[in-house]
Parts: sequence; C-alpha cells; structure tokens
Amino acid sequence: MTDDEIKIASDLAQEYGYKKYMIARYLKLWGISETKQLLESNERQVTPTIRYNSLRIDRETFEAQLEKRNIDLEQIDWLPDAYFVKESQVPIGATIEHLLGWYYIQAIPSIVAAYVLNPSENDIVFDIAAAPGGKTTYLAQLMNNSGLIVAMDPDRLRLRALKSNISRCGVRNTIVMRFDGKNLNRLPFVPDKILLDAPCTGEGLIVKDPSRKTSKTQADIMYCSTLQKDLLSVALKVLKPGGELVYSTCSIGPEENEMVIDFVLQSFPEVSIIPMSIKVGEPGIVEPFGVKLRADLINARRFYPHKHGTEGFFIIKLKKGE
Amino acid sequence: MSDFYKASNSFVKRVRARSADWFGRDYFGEIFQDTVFVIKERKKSLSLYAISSLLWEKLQDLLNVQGLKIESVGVWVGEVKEENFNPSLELMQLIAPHIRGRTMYLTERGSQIFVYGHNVLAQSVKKVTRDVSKNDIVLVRSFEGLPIGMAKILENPKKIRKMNDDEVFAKNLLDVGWYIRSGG
Repeated sequence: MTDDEIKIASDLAQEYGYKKYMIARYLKLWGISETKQLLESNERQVTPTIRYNSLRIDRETFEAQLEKRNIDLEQIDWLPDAYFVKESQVPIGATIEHLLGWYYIQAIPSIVAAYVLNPSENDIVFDIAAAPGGKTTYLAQLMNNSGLIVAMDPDRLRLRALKSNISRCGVRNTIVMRFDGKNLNRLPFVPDKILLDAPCTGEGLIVKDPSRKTSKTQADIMYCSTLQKDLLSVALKVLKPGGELVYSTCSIGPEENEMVIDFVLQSFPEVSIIPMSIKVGEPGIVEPFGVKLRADLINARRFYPHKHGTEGFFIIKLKKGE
Repeated sequence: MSDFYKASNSFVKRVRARSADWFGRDYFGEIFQDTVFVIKERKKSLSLYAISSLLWEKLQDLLNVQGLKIESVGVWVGEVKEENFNPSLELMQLIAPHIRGRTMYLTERGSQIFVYGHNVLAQSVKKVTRDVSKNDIVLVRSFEGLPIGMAKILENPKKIRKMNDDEVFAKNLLDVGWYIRSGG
C-alpha cells in the first residue's frame, strides 16, 4: 500500500471504529468508494426477514394471521418462503405464531444457503455446524420431513437451541448429534448432500453485531481459514459420488471463502463448482489481493449490506463426480 | 449398552395410557403411523422419541460407532420419570387438532401472560368447555383458538365468575414459550 492508502485506511478505521487491517483489506478488494458504501451500510439496520414454515401451517392462514397481528409482510419474489417484515407493531420473536413454529426469523442469505442445496425427499443430508437450526429446519421443510438429516454441532449450548428450534418447527426427519464435523469420516454411511455453513470470523455480521469491528484479528482469519479447509476436505471425502455440497460463511473475506475453495479443490479434481439456481448476489472474487484463483469461482454468490440490504455472506455449490 | 434403544411394547403401552390422562384419550394411533419408538436414557429420566423406519435404520448404524453423542431423533414425545409421563410440546401440538372439549380459552392478555410461563388467573379466562371439571388437565388455547399449552384446573369452572380476578384458576403445566426459554 502507498502512504496515502495507509492514511486512508487509518482514517476510515478511526472514523467507523474498525481495526485497521480490516479496512486495508477492504480497500484492496473494493477500492475507496465501495469500501465507504460498505462501512456506511454497516451502520444501518437491515430489514428483518422471516421464513414461512410449511411444516406447521398453510401459507394462506399464515399470511392472514400475521396481517391480523398488524405485521406488514412483503414476499421476496426470487426466494420462496421468505418475507421482508416491513413493519410490525409487536416484536416478531414474541408472537404466539412464532412460538408455534409458523415462521423462523432468518436472514436472506441463510435461507438461500439451504434453498440452493435443493434436497429431495429421499436424500440423506449432513448439516455440519448446524446450530441454532435455521438451515436445518428449512432443509426439513424442503424435504417435506422425509429422508434423513444428520444435524451436528460440537457446542453443547448451541445444541440446546438447535433441538428447541427443531421441535418448535415440527421437524421429524432429523438426528441431532454433538459432533465435530472434522470427524465426519467416522460416520457409517455417506450423504447425498452436505450443507457446510462453516465456522467463521463473522465479518459479514457487523451490520447486526458492531462488536465484530474490533473483536477479530488477522490471526482469527487464519485460524478460521485452516478450520474451514479441514472441514471442507473431510466433507468432500465422505460425500457420495454424484453428491452435492453447499459451502457458506457469514464472512466477506476471500481468505475464508474463495481462497478456501481454491485451495481444497486442488486436492479434489473430481469436484467441480456448479452454478446455483439463485441469480441474486455478486459473483465470487477470482483475483483477491492480486492472487489469481480458479475462474469458475465466479459461480459463487456474495451478499453485501450495501448492495443487497442483507448481512455479508458467501455461498458456493460443489458437485462430486460419479 | 447404548443410551438409545428401542422402547418395548409394554413401555409404549404405559406411556399411551398416561398420555390419555393428559389429553382425555389415547391419540397415538392417529398421529403416529409406521413409527418406531426409541428411548434415550438421561440422568434422571427417560426421553421417548418417535421416528421413521429410515431414521431407526440409520440410528442403529450410528449407535455402532464408539463414542458418538446422539442428542435427539425424530419427534420428541415426552419424558418418563418415576412412572410419570410428561408430554412434550411437540406431542401437544400434534394432538391439539384432534381434541374436542377439555379446553380452556384465554383472553388476549391472558394468552401473553401464559406463554411467559405463568399460571392462569381467573381474569385471564375467556371460556372453558362444559366438560371440564376441577382437577382436569386441559388444552389451553389463545383468544384466537391457537393451542398454546396445557394446564390443570384448580377450581370448579362453574364458580369462576365468583373468583377474584387475581386468583389462580389453573396451573401452567406446559406452554409454547418454553421453546424460547429453553434456548431456541
């Protein structure tokens, strides 16, 4: 970086309350203008979104009932089951309908990650790092409560939330395990599909949790990146030939996303990156920080607060050859 | 021996009989078809789950792997502790559409208070079905008819209009607010 760029990074870091290394990376990736847009958007709240749960109630009743509650919904046309909450007289987490599992308060990219995996009713699906269960419960909905989901998470406390949400949402096709995904090769059967929402620094969640502006270091990024590579490698090993895997994180750094995929796929020539059914979102970054990665990473989708009004998120879909 | 195992027929029969005490009669035949019942042993109780034959097949495979910590499977039916059966909210939600009578409807305010885990005050009661007597366990519905839990009636319903507003009319046994209180 030039002296001028270093000064700009310092000034923006101070103005918006970030660690300097984060801003320096953003400037390299997106330049000054877009970096400022991102930082500004992170200061504003995103419109809350909910996902309708067909396992509990029919859509007509759901929409009519929430209207009676004076909750103003707008259906998202490109994402079935997802709604913006434009206005609500009551906290959307405190309604009886929420307690009854009629809907799940869930960010758009998180809904997308489960949606693009596109599980069928007979599939065996592994959901790695599944807690608190937003994606697990949507997978079950997409599978019409058939087939099998093995939902795993190593964290005992987070598992409580996962079990509670599974029960609340009427999910019946799931086995919940306290289990570290790094040990997937110990499991006695192979999955047709895998959802790997990898543990990450959560750099995309600043819009919801400003403490993340300063709570993570470059060492955290490196740590997460190593963990993500390990998890993805073992997941691809156990995936059934012909099977599909969706990898996602709530981070916007290429170090936890494209660079992880590029690194791991060098050891898996039989695995390809495939386009997703969703066209919303930005394409993946194929040359971050001047490092040239594989060109088909363009098929990934990136979500940003300043472009999509969502938290920052990364999603990519992989297919293992027969 | 694994802490998960298939429930015996006699165990399920006992649970079904106990569930009838809660819901007025045994509804298992209507809500659980082609189901395998499995038990997980916990420190002080037994958790009962209802699962499909596919889940049972895969669960058995998993149970053969040393050291796996399986937390739950399929539908959590309830807990058995010292021969007492406590139904889960999931069971309540499955059975609620089948229940006729044995129901207490709460006011709007009463519904909100109930799902915070509180007992039912006389002023919170909108209506009680005619078949309900003192000491009955009833389904609790919100002012709009949504099933929100179970309660035990503590007073003769015919005398409710003579009770003080702040007197407890029914004891909260189970309410859907638990989903959030338990970490959901």
